[in-house]
Amino acid sequence: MANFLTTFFNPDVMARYLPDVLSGMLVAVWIGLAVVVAGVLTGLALACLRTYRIWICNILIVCFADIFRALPPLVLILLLYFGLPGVGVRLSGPMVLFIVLSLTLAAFAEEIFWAGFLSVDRGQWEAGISTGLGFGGTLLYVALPQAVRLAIPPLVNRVLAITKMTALGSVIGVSEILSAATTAQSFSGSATPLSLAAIAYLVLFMPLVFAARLFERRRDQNQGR
Amino acid sequence: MTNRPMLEIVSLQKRFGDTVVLRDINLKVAQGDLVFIIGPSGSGKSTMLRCCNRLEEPSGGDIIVDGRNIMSGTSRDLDRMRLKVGMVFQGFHLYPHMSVVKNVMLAQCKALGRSAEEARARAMDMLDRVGLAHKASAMPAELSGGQQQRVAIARALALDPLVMLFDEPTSALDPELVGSVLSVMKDLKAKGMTMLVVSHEMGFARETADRVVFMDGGLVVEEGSPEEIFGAPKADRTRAFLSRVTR
Repeated sequence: MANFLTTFFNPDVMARYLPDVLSGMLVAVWIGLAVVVAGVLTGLALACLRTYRIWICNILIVCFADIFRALPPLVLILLLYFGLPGVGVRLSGPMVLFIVLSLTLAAFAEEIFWAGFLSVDRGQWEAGISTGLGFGGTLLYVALPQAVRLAIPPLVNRVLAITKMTALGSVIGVSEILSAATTAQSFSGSATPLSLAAIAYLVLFMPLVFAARLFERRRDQNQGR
Repeated sequence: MTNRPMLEIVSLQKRFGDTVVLRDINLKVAQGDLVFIIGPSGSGKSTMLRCCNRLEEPSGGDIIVDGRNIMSGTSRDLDRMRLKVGMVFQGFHLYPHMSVVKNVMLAQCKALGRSAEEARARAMDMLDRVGLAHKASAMPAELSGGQQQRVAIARALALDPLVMLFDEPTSALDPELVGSVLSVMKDLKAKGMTMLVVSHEMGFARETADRVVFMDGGLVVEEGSPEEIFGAPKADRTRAFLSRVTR
C-alpha cells in the first residue's frame, strides 16, 4: 500500500511538479476553448449552408465531413507538424493542434446539426415561408433554433471527446497537461505527475459531464418524458 | 368594387415529373367571397391551394393577387406577396419552440418590420378574436389541436392578409374540436375576409360558402352556389362524389 502511494501520490513530487501541470491545464483550456468555438461555429455554418441544397456546395461539405470524421486526428497532427515544413510552411505546435481539432470537431458538428435540420418538420418551413419570412428568415428563426436544440446532447458528447484530444499535443511538444506530466515523469522517475495529469483532466471535464447530464434531464422534464 | 377579383387563377398547371396534377385551372375569388373547393383525394385541390402562394411552384399559368401577378417579380416581391396571402395548414405547424404569442408575433416583426410592442398588441387582438388570449404565454404543445389551429389562424391574420387559404383546416382534429375552428372561420367570413377553403366539411360549405367548386382529375368540373352544387349537381362526377360523401 505504501509502495502504491509513493508511486502514484508522492507528496514531494506532487508539490514540485504541480505548477507545471497547472500551467499545462491553462494551455489545454485555452486551446480547448478555441477549438470548441471554431469547430462548433464552422460546423453550424456548414450545416446551414447545406440547407440551401446547392449541389456543388453539398458535395464539398459531405466530402469534408466524411474525410475528417474518418481520419484519426493524430495522423493529421503529425502530417501537418512534420510534413508542412517540407513545403516551407512552419506552424507552431499549438496552431497545428488547434487547426486539426477544430476541423475534426467541425466535421462532426456539421453532421450533428444537419441531422437536427433533417428532423425539423417540412411543415415548419412551409409555415415560415408562407408568412413571408423567406428562406433565410425561416432558416434563422424557425429551423435553426429547433435544430440546435436537438443537436445539443450529441454535440456536448462530441465536444468532450474532441477537447480531450488536446492531450495529443504532447507528441508535438505543446506544453499542455499530458506533455508537462510526461516530462515531469521522466525527470522524477515517478508516476505521480501522471496521476496529477489524470486528476487535472477530471477537474476540467467532470463539471462539463455533469452539466451535460443536468441539461439532458432538464430537457427531458420539459418535454414531459 | 366589391366584385373585383381578389384572387385570380389563370390556366394553372402543375406536373410532378410525368404526373399531371393540375391540367388547366381557372378560378376567380371576388373580394369578401368564401369559395369552397371539394373533390376526391388526388383531385389536385391541395396542390392548387399551395400554388396560390407558390409553396408549390406552378408548371404554368398565372396567380393574380389583388391585381398583381405573383408569378413575375423577384423573390423579395414574392415574399411580400406571401404576406398578403395567409395560409392555414392541416397540421397547424405552430413553432414548437416559441410561446403562442411569439408564434403570432414572429413574422410581424421579421417580415413586416413591426416593433415588438406593436406586434404584441396586434397578436393579442388576434388571439382574442380566436378566443385564446388567455393562452398567450402557453407553449403550443400545451394546447389542444383545435386551439393550435385557431392560433395558426391568428398567426396568419396578424399579417393583415387580403386572402386566406385553408388547406383542410379541420381534417386533423378530433370531431368535438372541429366546431371551434369552423366558428372562427365563420366569423372571418362575416367580417369580410376573402377565403379559399379546401375541406370536407360539407355542412359548413352549405351554410357559409358563396360558391362551391368541384374538382376532379386536375380540372374544375363544376362550380356554382351551394344550392346548385349540393341541390342539383349537373355533372355525373359531382353527383357520384356527393353521394359518396354525404349520406
